[in-house]
Amino acid sequence: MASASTATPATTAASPAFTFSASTFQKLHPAEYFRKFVSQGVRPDGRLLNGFRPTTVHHGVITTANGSAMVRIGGTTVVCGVKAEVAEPRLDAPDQGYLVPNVDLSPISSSAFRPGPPSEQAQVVSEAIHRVLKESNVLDLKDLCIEEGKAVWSLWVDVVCVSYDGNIYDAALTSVMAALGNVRIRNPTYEEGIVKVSGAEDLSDDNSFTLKLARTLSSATFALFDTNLVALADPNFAEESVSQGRITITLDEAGQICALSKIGAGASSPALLRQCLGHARERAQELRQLMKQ
Amino acid sequence: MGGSSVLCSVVGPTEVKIRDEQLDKATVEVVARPLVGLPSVKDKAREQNIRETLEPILLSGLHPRTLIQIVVQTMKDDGCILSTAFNATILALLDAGIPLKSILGSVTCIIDAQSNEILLDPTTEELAQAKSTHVFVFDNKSSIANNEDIMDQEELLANVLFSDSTGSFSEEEYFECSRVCFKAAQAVHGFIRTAVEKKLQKEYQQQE
Amino acid sequence: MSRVELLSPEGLRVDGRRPEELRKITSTTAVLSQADGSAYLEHGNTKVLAAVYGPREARHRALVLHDRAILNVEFNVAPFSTGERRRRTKNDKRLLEMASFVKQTFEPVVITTLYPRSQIDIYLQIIQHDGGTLQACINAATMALIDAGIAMTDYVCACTAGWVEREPALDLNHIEESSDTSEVTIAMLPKSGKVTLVQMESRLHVDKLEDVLSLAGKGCKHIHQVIDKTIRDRAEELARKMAV
Repeated sequence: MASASTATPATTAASPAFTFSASTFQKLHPAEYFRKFVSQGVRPDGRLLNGFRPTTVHHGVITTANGSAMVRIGGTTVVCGVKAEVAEPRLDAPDQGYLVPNVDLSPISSSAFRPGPPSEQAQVVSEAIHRVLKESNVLDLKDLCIEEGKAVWSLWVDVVCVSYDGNIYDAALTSVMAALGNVRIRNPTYEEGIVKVSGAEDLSDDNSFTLKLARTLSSATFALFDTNLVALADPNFAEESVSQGRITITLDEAGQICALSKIGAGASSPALLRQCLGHARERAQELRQLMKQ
Repeated sequence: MGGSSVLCSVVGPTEVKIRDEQLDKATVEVVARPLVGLPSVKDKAREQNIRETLEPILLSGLHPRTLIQIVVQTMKDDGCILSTAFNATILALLDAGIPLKSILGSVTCIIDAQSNEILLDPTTEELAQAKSTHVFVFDNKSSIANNEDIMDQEELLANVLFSDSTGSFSEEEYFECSRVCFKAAQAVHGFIRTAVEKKLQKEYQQQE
Repeated sequence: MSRVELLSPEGLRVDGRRPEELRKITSTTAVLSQADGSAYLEHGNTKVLAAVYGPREARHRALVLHDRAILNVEFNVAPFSTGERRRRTKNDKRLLEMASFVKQTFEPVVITTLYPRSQIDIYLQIIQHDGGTLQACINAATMALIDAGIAMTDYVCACTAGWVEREPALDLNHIEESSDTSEVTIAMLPKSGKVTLVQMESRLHVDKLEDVLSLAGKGCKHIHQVIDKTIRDRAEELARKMAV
């Protein structure tokens, strides 16, 4: 195995008395183990530095939801379901509906997550998705209006992480976009304070509507390291835990940037950012192909 | 900064909970508090932003098995809270005498939706008009070098410590914002320097 | 609200099944890369995912038992799984009750004495809900435990039966469940025929109980065959892979 040949000689050179197997070395010095791989231009799972994991998108997997999608990026699996509910609009925006994304990192998905209230990570990802959807006007909230000042649709976009192996933001955003893409809501009728939604007949174009999405977002995340400033595309859980920072780039189909965040891991040069942007564009192309139904 | 103000306190290095203890470095904890009400998801995101940006700057290896707690309380909000919080934090860290690798300066800018101009340090009204919003943090390592170098090398040296942008913008616009903010960050660094100098002078006088 | 006709004059149910007919069950094991054992089960339109972590170090030292492992069961209902969206909190009494049912069902079956001072976590995620959640969860948990290689004395197969209008019916769906029918869920060990769980919340005449129980028992036997096939197929596949 490649891992044994790269890892063992270095340790034996330092202290000839100790020789570990590659897996022991990985457990003892995860960061060092990792650095040895990256210095050779490959990663422990065999990917190149800018390689993304195989990704699949399935549409409409949940029949109880108005729209749904399941996205798999390598070992990360998320299910996103959109449910529409009638709600009262806010006073300061009487003609606007609600779009509420939420990401749930349940303990089922990884042994790193504990049962209990949402972790900081879950909250931060939820907030990031909420912000990118809001700031880039993906959906005109006026489309969700039933009767001005009286009733609007509230779209609950729930992402449940079923299996966690890093890069939750990309997986969650992809699933949210795919699920919003196949949302179908029955036409409501408003009569004297009561919203009626017919429920009997099958869904068709006549009795239901779909959402008009202004743009399709796709994102790419890169992990950053303090020591050697290389960016690793689509980090898995092991890579995330040894990395110090990350760059996340969200693009729309016109190539405009909708969100860009770089956090942690010392200073990075504009050249690195440009390089990541280039990879993100390629990745966005690929994701858009996958998201098409 | 303008109409916004943030109060920041640093406690540390102090005792750490066993659960959070790290054997080789100090644990950094950031608590962000909003102007009114209970901390929301937005504050959580701000906590994470500040913590992860500071972690590589703090020489936390010098204080293993301790806790450095940073509390960031918003006092007045008129836009750019995140930038203000960053600058308040670094001043508080300097005041606390926590060893740092470098000093950071943060600047926010927006691209106006109508005029397509870059506006630095926007107010709440300006933020509502923005096509895109950008928050940058630069350290003073690249700026010191830059003062002696020529302008065309600026592009190479403008290393970003933290960047967070939302809205809709092109690659060129982003790097233009980055350049503008980088220049503005020099002023922030200068301000931090004078603030520290003044404070030290005062302390020195009091001792005499 | 008008009562829904649950049984047609021809003796067929709302979804066209005969009274003693199960819904279609499909299942797979080892679906999650992160968990030690996992299973995905579709029972009609009810979709459940089960993951087993452990035996691993107990989270709270106070809970550790020096002679056996502790079982911990957590339920999670996806907000989009039910017809109406409801935010289920962690402390939802209904969920806690379900979790304790599953826990009590498995405690006598898992040979916990083999794993002293450790904890086995069973996490159940309901992805889509269409009646019979408890039975689906127990069946999925059985498969996940087997997939995790945890020693058990036998399979645990659960099945629901109820009294629909005028005769006993197997495996109630959501419509039948919600319209005032009595419902019994039993979990049994198919080899010995022992029953580890009987759960009923509504009224049912004693004379009818016998019929319903025996029907549910038959259902369990059938479910056992389905689960057993999945497990055996998986084991064979693994054996083939190891031989190569």
